[in-house]
Amino acid sequence: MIPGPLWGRAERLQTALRTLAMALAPVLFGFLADAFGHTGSHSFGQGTFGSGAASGAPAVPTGATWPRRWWRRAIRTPSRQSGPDFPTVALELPDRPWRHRRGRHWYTDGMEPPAASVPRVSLFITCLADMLFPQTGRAVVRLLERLGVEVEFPREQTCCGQMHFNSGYIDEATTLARRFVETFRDCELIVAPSASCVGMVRESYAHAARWAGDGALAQEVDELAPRVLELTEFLVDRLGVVDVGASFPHRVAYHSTCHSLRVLNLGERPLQLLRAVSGLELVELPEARECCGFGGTFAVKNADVSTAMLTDKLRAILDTGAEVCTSADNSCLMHIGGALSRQRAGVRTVHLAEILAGEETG
Amino acid sequence: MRKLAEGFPQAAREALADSQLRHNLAHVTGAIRTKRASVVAEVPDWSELRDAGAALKERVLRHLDTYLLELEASVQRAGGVVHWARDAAEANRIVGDLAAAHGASELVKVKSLTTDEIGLNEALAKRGIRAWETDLAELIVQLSHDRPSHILVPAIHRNRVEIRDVFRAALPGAPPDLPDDPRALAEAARLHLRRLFLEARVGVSGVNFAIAQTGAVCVVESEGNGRMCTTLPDVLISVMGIEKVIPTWQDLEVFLQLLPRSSTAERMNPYNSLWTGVTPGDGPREFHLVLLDNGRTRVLADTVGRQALRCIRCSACLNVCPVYARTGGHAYGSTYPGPIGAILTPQLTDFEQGSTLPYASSLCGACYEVCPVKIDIPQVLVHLRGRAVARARAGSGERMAMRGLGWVFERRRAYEAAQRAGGVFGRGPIPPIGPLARWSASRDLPRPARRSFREWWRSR
Repeated sequence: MIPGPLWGRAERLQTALRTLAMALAPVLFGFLADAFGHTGSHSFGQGTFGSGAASGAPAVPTGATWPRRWWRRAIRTPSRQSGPDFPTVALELPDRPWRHRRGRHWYTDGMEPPAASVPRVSLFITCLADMLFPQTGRAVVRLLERLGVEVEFPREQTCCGQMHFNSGYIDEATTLARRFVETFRDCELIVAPSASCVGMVRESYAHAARWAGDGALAQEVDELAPRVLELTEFLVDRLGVVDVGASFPHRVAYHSTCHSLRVLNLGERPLQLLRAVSGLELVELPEARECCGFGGTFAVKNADVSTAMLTDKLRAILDTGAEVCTSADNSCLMHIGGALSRQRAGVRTVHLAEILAGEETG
Repeated sequence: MRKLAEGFPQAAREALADSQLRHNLAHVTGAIRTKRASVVAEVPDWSELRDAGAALKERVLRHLDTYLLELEASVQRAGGVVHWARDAAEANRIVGDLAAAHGASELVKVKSLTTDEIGLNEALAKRGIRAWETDLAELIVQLSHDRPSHILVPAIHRNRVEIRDVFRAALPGAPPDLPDDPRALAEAARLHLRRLFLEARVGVSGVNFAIAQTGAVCVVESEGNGRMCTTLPDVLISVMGIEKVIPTWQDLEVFLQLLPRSSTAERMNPYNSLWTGVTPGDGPREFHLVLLDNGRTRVLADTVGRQALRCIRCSACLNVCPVYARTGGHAYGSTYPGPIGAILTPQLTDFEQGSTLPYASSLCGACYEVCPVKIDIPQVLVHLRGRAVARARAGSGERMAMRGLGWVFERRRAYEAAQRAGGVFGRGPIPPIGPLARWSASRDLPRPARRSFREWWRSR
């Protein structure tokens, strides 16, 4: 109805005005907050699940210049200095920086979020699962929500950059690391159904930052990395759940991927979770610590060696008589499953999250 | 070094087809791996020992200049002569000149990777000097004009029937009806070596550790041939990479625990030979120590890659490496095979050799887990891949693909558009080209979902 160019211009104007308003409003708000003194009796960060960034936000440094101080005061949790209770200025505007995001909801400063004990996580789905294995992502959401966790999905996320990093394209990986940090900076806890992607963030981002000589990124990574958890870490360590109420009446072999084993040291966690699944028969995989031969671009750069390793892994899986092979990484499963399917082996691969979300009865 | 030009993937392809090799390798690496795990488990402070080993080596690398000069002074004080060799050619010339000066037409050698690295045997042969390997496995390799395929077990790729044939054909004095019984094979080698030990006037060894404080040099081995080579000849020449120096005598305590358990899976090496300069009336009358750089200072300049110089050549990383266990050492086309070779060779040669080696790993991390001096091999591999990419030519298909993907991943809208396009076009037939073909050779390719996760999320 409205001609395209005209619409575009109007949108551009609107964007410019909105940006300007967004830039100015916090400063104004900070000024007001300063003028009214230190309110700050509200600290809803406390008592919420985990040790989120918002609750642990440092006090506003006094050395900063005034606009910056106001800005920070405006966008962060107020300092917890005691003082007279002043009414908080709460502007009812949508999605603005002085409002705090909790799960899928936004809260204004001074407003208590409902049911502070509900754990909230931001889901990092990983690019592989997003496009090739969306059923894993759906399973994670179903599982977490069944356990009473509030899940949000920051839409700006794309890829952690592991493929670039491990193939030597470290500059590209660093750019993606910056993007990841920007996307998830304000999230309390980030959960991903992939040991290797979590390993990338926790272990390799620091190397990428060092390669790029980017001290600021290194610092942000330091701050963010401990909040990025693999799914089983979140379930076992943070939620303290081993029995997630799943049912999966099948004979299952668990492949401990190299990154869950040696980078994240997941140890017994996945096995504990699997043992508690009703109806599931867990079989022990011989040579379980051996790599399946995936290794990212290794699988195509050294396809022959990769296939030789894969063949031995397949033999181990088939020897167990398992019906399903599972693991904490879709990438390795893609490799193993690709060969099982090629050989018409009659064994399928299923991500651990899908088993844990399962409510199938036998 | 025949297979170098073709690179690791091609060499590996050939090796993988050798079923006898696969069988031998799986058997030996599996056995050492299990044994290592059990002797390591006996040591309650193993992880602290690893920390100590790594810290000591790191200290040496940071103060290499000081320790080398201290070592030189100590060795000279003890009556030894120190030579500095910038590269392989210089080291070979020094050893050749020394042997020639003593009129030696043959000399005996202790198994030494450093002398393999510089191609000493070939260089001496050109000057008419025959260098005899005295380690049994090295002897087998030498007699069959082969190359070592393992740091510790150079003939890991041979079984005893093959060894019998090698001895029948090439071992001086071996009976034509030599059986393939291990005892008989060892005896034949022993008779041959005994003559050499008694007649050779020059012995050549590598160095496991050299102690800066006292000038003592240490060689560890299992067969006793090293003890013979370092004590019987009049002249002893030891060639050491400059990173082999350690600060004090006491530091040996750490390494003599780490090394045997990691390498041969023994609590202690059967022979630990240590000597300090020369002692009148006992052992060699002349001792020469050749300090070899050959690219090591270049490695030192790379703050991430330099940890490769901590290596004490135990070969634990080879035995646990799933790639090595299937291809063997020859595919690496370098003196140092396996994971350590993959990070050492490209660095030592400035990527002239082994440029494909940093990719010869699935980054599974098994090597890092067992390394007694905690070299983070996966980290260095990735770092070297980064260096390789940085120096590669600009227009390669891989680079363009990676750049393109990076561009898409940096932009959410482009990423989502690519997803939608993939959902539509990714379900058709797969073009059998490049990486897709190499993937599809043994694995089915997963197809993009009709609806991505994020589309599902937005619709719920």
